[in-house]
Amino acid sequence: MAQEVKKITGNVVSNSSEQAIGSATISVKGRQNTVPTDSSGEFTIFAAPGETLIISSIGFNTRSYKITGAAAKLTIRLMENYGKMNEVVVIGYGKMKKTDLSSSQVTVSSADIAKTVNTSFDQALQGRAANVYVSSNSGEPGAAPSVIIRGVSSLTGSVQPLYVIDGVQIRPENGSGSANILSGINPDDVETMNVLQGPSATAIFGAAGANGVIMITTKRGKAGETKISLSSLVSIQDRPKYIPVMDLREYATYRNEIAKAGGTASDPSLADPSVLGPGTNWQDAMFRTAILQKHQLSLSGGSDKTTFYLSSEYFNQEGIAPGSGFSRASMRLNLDNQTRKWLRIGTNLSVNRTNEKVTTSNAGMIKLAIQQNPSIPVKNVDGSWGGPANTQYQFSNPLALASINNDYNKSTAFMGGLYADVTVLKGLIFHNEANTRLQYYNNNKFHPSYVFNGYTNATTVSNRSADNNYWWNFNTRLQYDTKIAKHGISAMIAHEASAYGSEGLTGQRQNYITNTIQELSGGDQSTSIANSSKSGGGSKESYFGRLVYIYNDRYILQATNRYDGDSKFGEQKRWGNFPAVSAAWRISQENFMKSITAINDLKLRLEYGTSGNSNASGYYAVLQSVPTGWGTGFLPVNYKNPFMQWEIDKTLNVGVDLHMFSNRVEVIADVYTKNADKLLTVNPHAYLYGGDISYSAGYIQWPTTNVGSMQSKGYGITVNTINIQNKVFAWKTGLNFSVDRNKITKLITPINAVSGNAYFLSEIGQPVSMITGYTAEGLFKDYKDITTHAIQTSNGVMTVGPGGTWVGDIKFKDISGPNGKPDGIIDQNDRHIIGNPWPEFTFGFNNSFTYKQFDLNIFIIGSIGNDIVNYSRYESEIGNGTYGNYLKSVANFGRPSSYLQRDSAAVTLVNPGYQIPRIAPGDPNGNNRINQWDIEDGSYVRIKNVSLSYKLPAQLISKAGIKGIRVSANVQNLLTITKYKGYDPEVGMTNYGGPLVVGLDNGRYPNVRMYSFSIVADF
Amino acid sequence: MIIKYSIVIAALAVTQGCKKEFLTRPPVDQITSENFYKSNEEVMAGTAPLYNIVWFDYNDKAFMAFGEARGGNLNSNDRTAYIRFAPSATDQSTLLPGYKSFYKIIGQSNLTMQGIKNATNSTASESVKNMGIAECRFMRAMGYYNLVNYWGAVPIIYDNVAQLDNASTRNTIESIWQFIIQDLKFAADNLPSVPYMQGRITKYSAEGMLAKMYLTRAGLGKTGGARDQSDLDSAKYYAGDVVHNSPYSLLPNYADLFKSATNNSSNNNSESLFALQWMPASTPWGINNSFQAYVAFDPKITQTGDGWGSAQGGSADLVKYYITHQADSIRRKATLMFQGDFYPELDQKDGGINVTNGNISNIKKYVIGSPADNGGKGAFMSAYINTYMMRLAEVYLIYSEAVMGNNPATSDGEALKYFNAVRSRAGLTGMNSITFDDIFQEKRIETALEGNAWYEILRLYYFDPAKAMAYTAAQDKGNYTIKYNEGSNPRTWTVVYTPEHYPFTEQTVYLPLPEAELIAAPDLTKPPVPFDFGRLPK
Repeated sequence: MAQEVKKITGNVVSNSSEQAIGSATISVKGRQNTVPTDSSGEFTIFAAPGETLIISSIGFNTRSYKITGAAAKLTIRLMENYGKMNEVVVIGYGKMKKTDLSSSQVTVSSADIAKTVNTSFDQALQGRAANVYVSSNSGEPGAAPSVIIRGVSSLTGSVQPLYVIDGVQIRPENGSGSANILSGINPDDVETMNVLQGPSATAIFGAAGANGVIMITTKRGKAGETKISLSSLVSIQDRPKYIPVMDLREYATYRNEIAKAGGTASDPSLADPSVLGPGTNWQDAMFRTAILQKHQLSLSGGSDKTTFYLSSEYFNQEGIAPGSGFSRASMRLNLDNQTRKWLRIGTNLSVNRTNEKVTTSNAGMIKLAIQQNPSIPVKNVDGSWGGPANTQYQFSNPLALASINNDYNKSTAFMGGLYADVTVLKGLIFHNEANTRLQYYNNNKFHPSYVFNGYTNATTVSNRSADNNYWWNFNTRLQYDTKIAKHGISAMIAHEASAYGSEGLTGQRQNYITNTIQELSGGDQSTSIANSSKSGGGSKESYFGRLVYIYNDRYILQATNRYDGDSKFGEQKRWGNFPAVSAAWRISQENFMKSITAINDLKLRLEYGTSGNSNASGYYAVLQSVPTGWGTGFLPVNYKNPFMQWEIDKTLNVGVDLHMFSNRVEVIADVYTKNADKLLTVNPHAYLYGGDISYSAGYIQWPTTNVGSMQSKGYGITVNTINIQNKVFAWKTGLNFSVDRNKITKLITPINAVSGNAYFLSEIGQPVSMITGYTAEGLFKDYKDITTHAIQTSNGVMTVGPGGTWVGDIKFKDISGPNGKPDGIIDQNDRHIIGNPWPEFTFGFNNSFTYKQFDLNIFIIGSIGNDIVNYSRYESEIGNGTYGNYLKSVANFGRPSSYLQRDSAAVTLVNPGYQIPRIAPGDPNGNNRINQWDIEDGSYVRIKNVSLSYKLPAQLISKAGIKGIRVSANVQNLLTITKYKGYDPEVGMTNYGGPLVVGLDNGRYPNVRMYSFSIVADF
Repeated sequence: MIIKYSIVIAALAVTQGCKKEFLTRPPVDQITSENFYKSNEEVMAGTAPLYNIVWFDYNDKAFMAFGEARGGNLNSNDRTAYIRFAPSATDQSTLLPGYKSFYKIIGQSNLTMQGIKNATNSTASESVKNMGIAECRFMRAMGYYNLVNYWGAVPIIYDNVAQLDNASTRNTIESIWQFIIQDLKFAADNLPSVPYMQGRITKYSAEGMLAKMYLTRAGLGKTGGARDQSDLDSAKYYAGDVVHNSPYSLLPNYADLFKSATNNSSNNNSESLFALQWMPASTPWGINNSFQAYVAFDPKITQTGDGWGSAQGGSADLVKYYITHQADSIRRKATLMFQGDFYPELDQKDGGINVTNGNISNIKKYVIGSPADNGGKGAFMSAYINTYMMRLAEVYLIYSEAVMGNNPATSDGEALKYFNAVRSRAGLTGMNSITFDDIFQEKRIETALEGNAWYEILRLYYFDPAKAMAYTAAQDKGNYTIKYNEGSNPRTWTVVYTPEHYPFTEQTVYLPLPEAELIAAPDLTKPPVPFDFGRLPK
C-alpha cells in the first residue's frame, strides 16, 4: 500500500572532502522522476516513504537511499570513485561503459585541454596520450600540428588521424603549416577527446580508421539552473633565444678573409672592422613580444526535457614575427530535447571565422632574419626601408617584406548536425543523424614591387583564390541492448553515406599602379595568365555493424565489420571489407580474485582487426592541355590504375587495464603490431614502362599502386595515480610513455626525397625518411693528407690546389663504391644513413597539486632519440654566399697557411680542431655535401606548462551573485632541456614532404615561452 | 505507431545514397581518358601532342649526341663522350633523358590509342578513329626505331598498364623491326593521302618511313654483304609510291627548309613528310624547340638570353667534305657557318650576322635568329621552327638505293632521276652512274645535323660491319682552325686540322643502358628473346 508522496529535501556531499556535489542526479527507483542537485548540492524531490532514491554522480559510486518516515533534511554522502569506473565513454558510432571496453582507447578530458594554452584543440593532445605523437610543423599562430598515432602507416598519403567532431568527419592532410581546418574550433567547447587506437575500435570506421580516430565530443547542457561562465585569458609570448650570428665587426672581418682567399672582393667600408659598430641585429629587429588573448562566454542549462549549451568566443594571437597572427571568432549551440517518451532529438551548430596571416612563412622571413647580414640597415636615415646595394646574390629586408607584403587566409566555416533517436522497444533504439561541414576559404597574396636601397623587385603580383567546400553524411543505425540473466548483448547495424567536394577560383595579376587596391581589378588585365577554376569531389557509402556479448561482466567479446565503398576506386575494386574482433577478460571479477581487495579491476584485452586507407587518386587518367599547331591538344598526365584498391592495415593489440587501491592507481598498457599492406604509393618503376615520378615534358606520372608494406610495432604505458588525497591537500600524477617503431617491409625501389641538399631515404628494412649524407673525417691538414686519401670529387680526378681539394677542405670518408666496396672516389656511393628522425620514445608527465583553494599543475613532455637536420645552421655555416651572414663559429674556419698552388707541398692547416671548412670560392671540393656534422640530436625534455590557479572562497563572492571565480597564472614552454642548437627542437614534419621528409629544420617558426593570466567567473 | 514511423524512416534511410552512380565521381574540372576521345575533334586533339611535347627530351639534347656526335658530324665541347663512343651509364643529362623520352613517346602513344579504342558513346567516325590510332602507331614505331637504332635489343611495350613491371626482358632486334614495320603498315593503310590538317602525317609519311625501315632491315644479319631482296623490293615499292604518287615535292631552295617562315607548325612545307611541330612558347614546358638555344653561337643571334653554342659546330670530317667539295656550297652555307660568312636574315636589327670565329665552324642549320627576325614569334629556348623527322629528299635517295638494290652500281633512269633531283637542288651536277657510296655520302650531306647520321652508319653495320667500323675510324673528329682566304672568289678557306680518330667496336656500337634503369630492371641484362606477336591485341 503506497504511502503519501512527500516533498523531500536534502544535499549531496563528498564523503572524503565534505564538499557539495553540484552535478549529482537523484531519481526514485521505479519511477520516471529525476532531479539534479544545484551547485550547493541541494535537491528537492517528491517521493513516498519506503521508496528508494538512487543518487549518482560522475566520479562517485552510485548509492541508494531508502526513505523512512521521518521528513528531516537528508545529507547523502557519496564515496569518491577515483577510477570513474562507471564512466560511459564515446566509441565509434555509439557509447559504452568504460568497463565493457575491449579495445584500446584513451580519453582526454576538457580539464586536460584547459591546462595548456592552445590555439587549436589538436595541439592540446601533445603529451596527453600514449602512442600519440604530436609535433608542431610550425610555431606560426594557427599552424596545424602533425598528429601521428602509433607511427606512420603511409608513404605518400596523409598520416593524420580521422577526427570525428560530434559526427562531422575530418581527415586532414599532412600539416602544411597553415590553413588548418581544425583551428576553427574553440578548444574550450570540447568536452572530451577519445583517441581510438585499437584495431577493434577503429575498424568501425573501416577505410578511414587506419591512422587512428580521435572522437571529439563538445559540451552539452545539463538540466538545472542556467550556468553562465565568463572567461578571459591574456598571454604574453616571448622572443626566442637568438641564434648566435656574426655582428658587423665579425662579418667585416670575415668578408676581408673571403677576399684574401680569392673570393668576392670585400667592401671598402668593411676594410677596417675596428671602426665599425655592431651593425643590425636582424633577429632582434624581427622578433617581438606578442599578445595572445581569448575571451569566452558560455551558457548551459535547461529543463528536464530540453538542455542547451551556448558559447561564443573571440581569440586573437599576434605572432612573435610581424606578418603572422591568427584570430578566430566562433559560436556554438548544442541542443537536446526529449520530444516524446520514445523520441529524442538534438542538434549541434557551430560557426566560426578565422583569419590567419601568413606573410612571414610565405616569404621565408624567419630564415631571412638569420641570413641577412648586419651591414644592411633595417631603415635608412630618411626613414625608408634599408636594403643591400643590389639584388643579385643578396638578401631582402625581412622586416620590410613583413610590412609591405600582405598574405592571409580567411575562412568562414559551419559545422553541425542533427540527430533523432527513436526508442522502438525497450533497448532498441533507431538512431538517425545528418552532419555537415561547409567552408568558404580565401587565400590572398599581395606582393608589391619595391626598391630597398638597391634591392629591387620590379613586379607587383596579386593572387586571389577562393574555395568553397562541403562534406555531408547521413547515418542510420539500429542499436539493441539487452541483458538476459548473465548475458549482456549489444548489437548495432548501420548504414552511412557521405559526399564531399569543393569548387574554387584562382586569379593572378601583375603590374599594379598602386598598392592601395590589392584586388585583381587593380592590376594589368593582360597579365591574367594564371586564372582558373577547379571543381571536384567524391563519395563514400558504408554498411557496418557491431556485436558485443558480455557474460557475467567477466568475458567480453566484440565483433565489428564494415563494408566500405569509395568513389576513388573503380567498380571492380570499389568495395572493401574491414572486420575486427576483440575479447576482454575481467580477471578481477573472478571469484578467486575477490579476496585480493587491493585490486579493484583487472582486465586483459586482446584484439585483432583491419582498417583501410583510400587516401589516393589515380583511378582516372587525367589529361593535360598542350598547345599545338592545330589548337589545344590533350595528353594523359598519369597512368590510371583500374586495379587500384584499398590499403589494408592489420593490427594485433594486447592490453591490460589495472585499477588498484580504491582506484587510486590506474595502469593501462598496450602492445601492438600494425602491418600496413598494399600501400597506396606512387612507386618509381623502370623507365621502360613509360612513366616518371617527377615532371619532364609530356611525362606520365607513375600509377598509384598498392605495392609496398610497412610495419609499426610499439607499446604504450599510462600510469595515473592519486598519491595523496585528504581534505586540504591532493597530489595526482599522470605519466604516459610511448615507443613506436616503423619499418618499410616492401617497396619496389627506394624513394629518395630531396629538400635542398638534404636527402631522406625510404627503403626496405628501415624506418621511413632516414637522413642520408656523407661522413666527414675532419679537415685536410696537409698535402700528404690529401694525396693519401680518397679522391674527393665524383669525376675521379685528384686535383690538389686552391681550385680543387686544398688544406682546410672537409675530408669525406670513402665508404663504398659501385661494387659495394670503397673505391677511392667520393661520390653518391658514399652517401649513407646518418640520422634517424624518429624518437626512440616519447612521454608526457603531469603533476597536479591541490591545496585548499590552490591548484598547481606541472606538465612535462619529452621526445628522446630523434635526429634533426639543422639546415638553417648548415646554410649559415657553409652556404650563405658572400652577402649572407654566418654563425659566429664560422670565424674559426679552416685556415690553410697559403692559398697558392705553388705551395701545395708545404701548405698546412694553421688552426686544426674545428669543423668549418676553408673559404673555397666555387666549392671545388664539394664541402657543401651534408654530413654528420649537420645532424643534431633533437631530443628534448620540456616543461610544457606550469599553471597555478586560485579559486576565490565562495562566501567572499556569493554576495555579488557570483558562484565561483578562478584566477590562474600560467607559463607555457617554461624550460626546454636539449642539445639542439636551433630555435626549437620540436620540428615535426616539414611542409609538403609528408612522411618522406621528417626532421628537417629549415628556418622553422619557433614555439616560444608564453606567460598567461586568466580569470574564469561562473554565475 | 512507433513501428510505423520507424519503417518510414528506415525506408528513407535505405534509399539514401544507395544508387550505384553515387560512388561514380569522375573529375569534373579535368578531362579524363574516360570522358574524352568521343568525337572526331577530340580524337585529333588527343593525338596532336604526339607531334611536340613528348619529343622535347629527344630534341633537346639527345638527337645531337646520339645521332650526330656518334655519326661523325659534330664537334662539341659537351658531347665529347658521345663523339668518342664512351658515354657513361650514369650520364644523367643526356643519356637518361634520351632513353626515357623514347619510352615516353611509346607510353603516350599506347595510352592515347587505348583511349581512342575504349571511348564509349563516341560519335567519332571509324575513319577518324583509325586515323588517330594510325598516328599513335606511327609515333610508337618512331620510338622503337630510335631505341633499336641506339640500343639495339630492348623490351617491346604495347600496353603500359597491363605490362607494368613484368616486361623488362629485352626483345630481339629482329622482333623490334617486325614490330616497327607492322605499326607503320597499319599507319600507311589508315592515314589519308592528304593531311587531315597541314603538318599532320599522311599515308605517304608512313610509306616513306616504311621504305626507310625495309631498306635497313634488308641488311639485318646479312654480314655477307648481300641484303634481303624482298625487303629491298618493299623499300622500292613504298618509296616509289611516295616518289610517284604523293603530293609532296622538293622545296626549290635548300636554305628555305631551315627557315621559320617555310617550316613551322602553322606552315609546313611541301617537302616535309613528318616534322616535330614546335610552338613559339614554352608553357607547358616541352612544346618548345630548344635546339637553337644550344647551338646558336652568340646570344645576339637569338636575342632571348640563350645562344650557348660558341663551342659547337661541324666536325673536322664534315668540314673537310665541304672544303674538298666546294661546289656543294648551297648546302654548306645552310648547314655550317664558315669564317667570313654573312647571314642577313639573322639579327636583322643590327644588319645581319658576320661570322668571325675561326676556331670552329658553328652550326647554321635550324638557327633562325631572334623573334624579331621571325615575325615576332619565339621566346627563350623556343625557336619557332619544326624539326624534320623525314623529308622527301631522303625518300628520293632511299628510292635510288632501293632501285640499285644489291648491285654495286646503277645507271637505272629512275634511280638517277631522283638522286640527281637532290643534287641539282643543291646546285650540283648530275651523275650518270651511282654507287652505294655515292648515295651514302649524298644522304649524309643532305641530312647533316638532322639526327640521321648514326642511323646510316648502323644500317651499313648491319650487313657490312667491317666497312662501317672502318668508315667511322677514318673520320677526323679532332679540332681545327678555319680561316677565310680574304678576297678569294669562289670563296676558299684554309683549315688546319689536328686529327683525332675514335672508332667504335662491337662493344660500343650501342649506347649503354642507363644505370638507373638497370637498377630498376635487372632483367635487361638477360639475353634478348623473340617477341610473341600473338600477344598483341587485335
